[in-house]
Amino acid sequence: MRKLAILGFALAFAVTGLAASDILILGTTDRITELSFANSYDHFTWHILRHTTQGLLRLEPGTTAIKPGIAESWEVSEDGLVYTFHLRPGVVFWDGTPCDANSVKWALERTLRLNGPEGGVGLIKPVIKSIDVLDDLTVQITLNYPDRTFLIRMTDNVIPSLIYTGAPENDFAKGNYVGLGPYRIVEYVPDERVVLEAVDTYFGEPPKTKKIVWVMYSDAAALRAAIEAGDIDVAFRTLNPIDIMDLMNNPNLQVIGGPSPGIRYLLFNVTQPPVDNVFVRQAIAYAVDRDAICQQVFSGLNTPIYTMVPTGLPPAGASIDVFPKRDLEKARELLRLAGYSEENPLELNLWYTPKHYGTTESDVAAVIKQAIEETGMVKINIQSLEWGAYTERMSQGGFDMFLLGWYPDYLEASNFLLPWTTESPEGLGTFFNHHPNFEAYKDIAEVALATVDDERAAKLYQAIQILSAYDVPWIPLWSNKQQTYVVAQKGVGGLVLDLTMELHIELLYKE
Amino acid sequence: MGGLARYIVQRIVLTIPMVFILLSVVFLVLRLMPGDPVLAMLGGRNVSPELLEQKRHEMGLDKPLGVQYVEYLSGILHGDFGKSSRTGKPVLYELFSRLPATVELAIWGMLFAALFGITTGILAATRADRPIDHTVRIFHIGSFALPIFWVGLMLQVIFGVKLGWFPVAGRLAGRYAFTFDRITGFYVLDAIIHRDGALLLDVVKHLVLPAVTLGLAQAGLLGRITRASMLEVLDTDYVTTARSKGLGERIVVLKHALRNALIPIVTVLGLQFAILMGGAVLTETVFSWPGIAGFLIRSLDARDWWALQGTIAFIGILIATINLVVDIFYSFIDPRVRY
Amino acid sequence: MSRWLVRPFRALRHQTLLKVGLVVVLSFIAMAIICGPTGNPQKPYGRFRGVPPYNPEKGYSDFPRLAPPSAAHWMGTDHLQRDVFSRVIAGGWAPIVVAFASIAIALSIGSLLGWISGFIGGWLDRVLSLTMDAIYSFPSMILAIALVAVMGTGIVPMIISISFVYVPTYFRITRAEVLQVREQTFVEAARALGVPGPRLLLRHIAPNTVNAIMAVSSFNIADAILTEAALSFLGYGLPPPAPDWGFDIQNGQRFLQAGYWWLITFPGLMILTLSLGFGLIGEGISDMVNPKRRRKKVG
Repeated sequence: MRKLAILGFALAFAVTGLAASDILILGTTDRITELSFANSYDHFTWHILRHTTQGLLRLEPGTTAIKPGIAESWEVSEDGLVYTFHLRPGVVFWDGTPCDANSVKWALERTLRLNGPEGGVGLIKPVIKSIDVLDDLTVQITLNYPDRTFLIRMTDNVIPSLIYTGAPENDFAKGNYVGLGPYRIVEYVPDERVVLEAVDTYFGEPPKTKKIVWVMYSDAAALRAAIEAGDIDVAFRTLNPIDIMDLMNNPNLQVIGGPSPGIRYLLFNVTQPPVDNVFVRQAIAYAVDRDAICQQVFSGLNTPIYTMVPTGLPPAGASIDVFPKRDLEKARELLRLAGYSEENPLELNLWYTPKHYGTTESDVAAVIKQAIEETGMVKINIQSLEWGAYTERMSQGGFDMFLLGWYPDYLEASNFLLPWTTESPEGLGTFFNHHPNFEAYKDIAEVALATVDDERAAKLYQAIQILSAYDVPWIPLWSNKQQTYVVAQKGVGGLVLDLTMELHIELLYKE
Repeated sequence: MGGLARYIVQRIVLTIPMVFILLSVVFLVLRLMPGDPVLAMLGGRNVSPELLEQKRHEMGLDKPLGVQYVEYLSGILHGDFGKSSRTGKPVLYELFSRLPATVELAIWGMLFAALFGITTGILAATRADRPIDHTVRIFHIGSFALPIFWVGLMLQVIFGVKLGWFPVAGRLAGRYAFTFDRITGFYVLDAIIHRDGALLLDVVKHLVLPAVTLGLAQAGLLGRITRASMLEVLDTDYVTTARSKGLGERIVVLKHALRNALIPIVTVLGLQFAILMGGAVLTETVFSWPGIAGFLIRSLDARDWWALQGTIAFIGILIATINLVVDIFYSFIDPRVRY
Repeated sequence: MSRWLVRPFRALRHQTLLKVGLVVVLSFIAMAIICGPTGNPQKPYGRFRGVPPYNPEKGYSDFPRLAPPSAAHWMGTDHLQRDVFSRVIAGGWAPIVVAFASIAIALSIGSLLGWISGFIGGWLDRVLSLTMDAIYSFPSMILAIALVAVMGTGIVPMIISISFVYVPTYFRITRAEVLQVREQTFVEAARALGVPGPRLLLRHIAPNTVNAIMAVSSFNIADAILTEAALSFLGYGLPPPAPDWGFDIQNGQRFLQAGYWWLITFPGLMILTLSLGFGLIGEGISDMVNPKRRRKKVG
């Protein structure tokens, strides 16, 4: 039988005419939502878009330093409002179309114009005033206001700033686009697989592996079974914590965790009673039990956090622990101040979504419920909605207290502070724009974003965090290490993990 | 044969209003249930009326019920089951691309059920009221009480995790997923066509646990029917005669008795397809099987309204058709059928 | 009235299956009442001290995490440091309540429609019969899942959806019996004497259908328990952290490959045993009513 198996193997490869190292099979439980630059906002869809085309700039894998992309070099005006990008000559899309200044202008303006409701165009739209073509290889972008994060926002890490062609003028791309590589999609079967193949027109260093197959598994259990059986070379996003711990003991596999800027937290709609009362929010901040969540639900794989800004994110020193450690007595005191008691308990909903963040979410909700109810003065109703309905209802202000997660759109501290407070408080369900201190947050943010000096900017970001510990629009809970874990077969190399939480597939290879 | 032809026509004519009513029931139920589908999609209470209206409009649910109904029926008549909002493709396309997976699982499940059920049934009938009969009957009764998803998981624990004999998820090892040229979509058949031994082994290994899970509950029912009809047949003059002719017991049982006992068994086998489809939902979920039932569950999770309605209608039509075929087939093999 | 209803105890003596079934079912019901939710925030589960041994919803920081069955924790502990045994014995009320309620509703509605349809006849009967046949031929599990998905999660949606799929069963039985009895001479005679229709239904027809319905109901409850478990396994059941066998199995599935078998084994055995109990009762009743019967599992 074994002989037969070997024969079959040889046959399979002879048919396709590829050597073993030319193909890597990766497994995930993620799904592609919609392959549109202007109308998608999730990790896996962005992963695919990011690896099929380029932006003006890119982040260097491993260091996350800003490096040239399509733009070879760039200049910034004195007032920080005008950025001039000089494009690399001879860059072509995979169909042979040259990529010049006009292509850049067309792609960016199209993305900005379409600005889909499910997309992340808001990451670049407010700041860009105009895009002008100076000559074939020079693009000038004028900003509405000086923004210290603008260059980071123009890297390939931020999907709306990617450059492409061949997409419909007035409709979302939905997979119809021509990119710059390094890869292109050759097959996409929803719920099953997406196959990427290296394009030879790519201007950068050619990817190590010619063909990448992403197999989409229905759940974490199936993903684990697949990596264990050797069906796939790499498993990425998202294995169960218990399985990650378990697989560390498997001699055939390598288990690697990266730095994680992914965070999980509780949010409040600050306009919705009873959590419109700041004492209630503060009480809950004292009552939640981060250690219980990390130890019980995540088998110790994740770690508690006490502020939204992850450590290690630029500017240096921006992250400061501001939220209190667990203190039930303090929580009870605050609840009493808010007018509640053992006889008149606070009734509150806790919303979660059962699949989007993995199947652990119902357990997280259960542990949070128990921790808060331990005050003896709160009664929590756990409610759940599937992801689509969840985000919809969230943006309608339909939640009082709810669980959400964040991984960065661009690697800078402001990305962990401004979305819920000033950028899209309604879309993200906090409705913080109705909060009396909203203007204060906004002012600090504006000053911080216009500040070029890193040290001063860091101080201003700290100020926002300190304020947030008083107003409690959010409660940071844990750092999501779980999703950075890559499990790979022993022969796989090029596993570079960094703060982007991205699997750099162009670097992967198998011996 | 005039009578038979008339019977078949009659049977077909009767199936049409049945399918029509089934489609109407699906339509009505999904709209008249206490929960508003749009509200359910958005998650219950506290949603702004504007958003509700907008969603309703998007889904075409703001039109009068009569108009919706006519559009829905004429759509299905033209093979248009709507478009999945999750994948952006026609529901019918999604279903047909997944149908082979479900059918393959159902066939092997049924095969296992038939094999296991008939064997145990014969065993029990030929050893009536002896310990082995009681053991088999206990299993037959117990099989009705088996939660299918749990059976699947327990098989995974024992044969997948502890013993490591069989894979616990999917139809195919990842290494074949992209080199494998799907000709029929039935992987066992495809592997044979490709003359690829390793592939065939892999496909069969993936099939074993799901097929056993799906077949186990059916095996109980088939076993009972086999036992009962075997007991009946073994009691007839016909078998007594065969015995008295000095034929070996094995030949009597397998050749003479079983052949007659098979008629009710075959019928039940065909009619069980509906139950099998129900079981397939859970089996496909537990084993990450990429079939129609799995698509249904994913559509539910994504609140993909059209996919949900289209899939249910599709399954309804499928089952009505299968029942029709079984009936007609039955009328051929059993001369006793009344027509 | 049939013989077994008149002399239940004598009948019981010869019915091992029925006896075993009754014992199983009654002890599960007792367990559900004793260990089920109380509505008392001080002791949310269990009516007596020490039953269940621990609060099934609560994780205890001094419990081991994911410990196998032991003397202290008969069925082990789960990842949230909860006692699995406590969860298992407190988790029975939802399946029992859902199964009984939905079959009771299906029985009432289905029988009523069956009586009416069979008695009145005509086009109403034809349309109703075809409708019921259409629903009957459809996989009940898929129908139930679709209905729950439309209505949302929780105990009431589960009851409504499960009862819906069983209505045709009772409709068919009742209608068939009504048609059969209607042709009998004493009914013809009664009608000729001018006995009003509804009274005729209740006096002469209803009692004869009771036997068949009793047997089928037991099988259906057995089946409804499996359906409830499946719905809750798929996440349409009680919200966490309430103990519910199906949901606990879904939760334990995550730990399956790491080898923590006790998280799914015990809740599953409970579902199996309870469903089997009702199945045995059904077997027993059918044996008495009709010793030469053939069972069709309701799909």
